[in-house]
Amino acid sequence: MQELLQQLANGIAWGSIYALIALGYTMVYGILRLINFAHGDIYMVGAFAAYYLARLTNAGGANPSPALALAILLGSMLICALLGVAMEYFAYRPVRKSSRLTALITAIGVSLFLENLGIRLFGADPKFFPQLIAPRSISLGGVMVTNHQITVVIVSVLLMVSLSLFIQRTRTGKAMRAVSFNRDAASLMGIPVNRIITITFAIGSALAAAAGVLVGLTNPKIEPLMGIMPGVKAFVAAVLGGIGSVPGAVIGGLLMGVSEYLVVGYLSSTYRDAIAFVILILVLLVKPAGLFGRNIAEKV
Amino acid sequence: MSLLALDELHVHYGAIHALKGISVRVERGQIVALVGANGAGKSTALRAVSGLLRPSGGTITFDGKSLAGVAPHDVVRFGVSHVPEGRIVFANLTVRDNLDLGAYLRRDRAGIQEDREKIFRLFPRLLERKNQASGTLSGGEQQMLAIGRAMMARPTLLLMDEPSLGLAPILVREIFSVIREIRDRGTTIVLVEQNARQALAIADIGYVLETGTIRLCDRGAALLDNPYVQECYLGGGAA
Ligand SMILES: Nc1ncnc2c1ncn2[C@@H]1O[C@H](COP(=O)(O)OP(=O)(O)OP(=O)(O)O)[C@@H](O)[C@H]1O
Ligand SMILES: [Mg+2]
Repeated sequence: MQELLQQLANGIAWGSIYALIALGYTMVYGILRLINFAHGDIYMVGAFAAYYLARLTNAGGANPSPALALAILLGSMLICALLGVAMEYFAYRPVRKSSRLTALITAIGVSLFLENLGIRLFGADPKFFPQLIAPRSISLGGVMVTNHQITVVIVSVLLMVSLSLFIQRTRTGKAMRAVSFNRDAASLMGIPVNRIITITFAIGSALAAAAGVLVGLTNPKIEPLMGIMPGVKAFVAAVLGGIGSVPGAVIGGLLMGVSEYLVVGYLSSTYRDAIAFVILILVLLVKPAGLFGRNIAEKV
Repeated sequence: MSLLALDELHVHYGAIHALKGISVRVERGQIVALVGANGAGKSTALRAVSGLLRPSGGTITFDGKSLAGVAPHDVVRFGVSHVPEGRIVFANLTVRDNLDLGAYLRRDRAGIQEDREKIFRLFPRLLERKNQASGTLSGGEQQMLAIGRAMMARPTLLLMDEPSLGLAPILVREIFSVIREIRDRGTTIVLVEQNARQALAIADIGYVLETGTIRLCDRGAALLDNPYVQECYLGGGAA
């Protein structure tokens, strides 16, 4: 029992990271029907942006400061938001009217570009992410968690709740849902479709950056190819939740993290990465629309 | 000066020449009907006015200003709203959110509130369902919502593409009476319809479109009496 709770705790913390990345996949898919394969690389850039911001500000190490950590998190989110906007503008917008295959190949190209640019700029060797918050272990009724894991969960929950309030309640959020339902009809309302797409990329990329910073906190080794696996897994999480669905991405991410830790705990860590593909195949066989798959949108 | 003037308007879809130089005039306060068979180019004409399609030739002038090359979301700013063919309500949003999106460009909260209430008075069924996802509305209710949503922009000109499509006869009558009411409150209307009889009956001016060209243009009542129109569009026999 203790063992199970322990794996669940680890899985939830790790799954929150997948959930944050999966949100970006699902939002971009919802609005453009594009699978942005470069999304995992944005997460990598987010981790590196925070790494350099921390070096620049001498953060971490001997004098960790939560305020500075927060500033670094926000800074990295801003940098990646801009990167996401640039990526949409320069790579995806020119091919928006082309076939889906063209867009998909473009996405793979952008992904390779960012990975190789990362190797060139940051070097291929792993870097050690500074300890922005001094680590501490806490026992919750016998289950050991770190304050880093707690931070990851709290920050993720805050971001997810804000995102969902934004999408449900604000004028721009409603416009995003309208654009994802039907672009032409949205433009007839006076909604500037391009600007809404830009905002979607900015938000999705900022969430991926947050995931990158949070992962640096818990798994401090970062390198330019670190986005590939989590990118794939977060994509599977989005498919599991029902691609296009925001709550689906969150649930899918958490399920993914938890199942990984259950595999590690009860089978063997060798199969840790395999579980993502098992889940993907099962979803595609049993419920291709995913847990929260939207069918109304596709009917029209 | 006409409120809306299309002059020698051409639209191509790739190699398909869908509008072959049509000229249409719409005066303030009128209902102008565009009737014609499937594929005549009626929707194409509306989509060109609202900026969804870029004309390959000719001009579109609204209130003295050219609409050529204006993006759809900016055309709305000019005071033109388009109720698209097939309604296209945002099924994933509530009735109320759909109406609020119709007022996307407006900032006058009080005015928006007032207009929302006006629309609920015009279509009481929408009020009963205001928090319902609009994808769950019936076809007729969705049509009411699409009209209401377009009215939320307080347009000077309302383009309506087949508002009676797929509706039961009672509902068709209701929709046509609403169209007249909207006009009477000061909004100019361009009405595209398959249902030529009812459209021409409420129209001041009617145009008959055939494969991308204008075959006839006259007062609505005159077209109803026109033997050619009766033969081809009113199913023969007298109106
Ligand atoms: N997206 C498109 N691509 C290619 N051709 C198109 C497209 N949309 C319309 N057309 C063609 O343009 C012509 C005019 O179409 P349009 O939709 O304007 O007709 P319509 O008068 O509205 O017909 P209906 O009453 O059936 O709605 C048709 O021949 C149609 O096949
Ligand atoms: Mg049509």
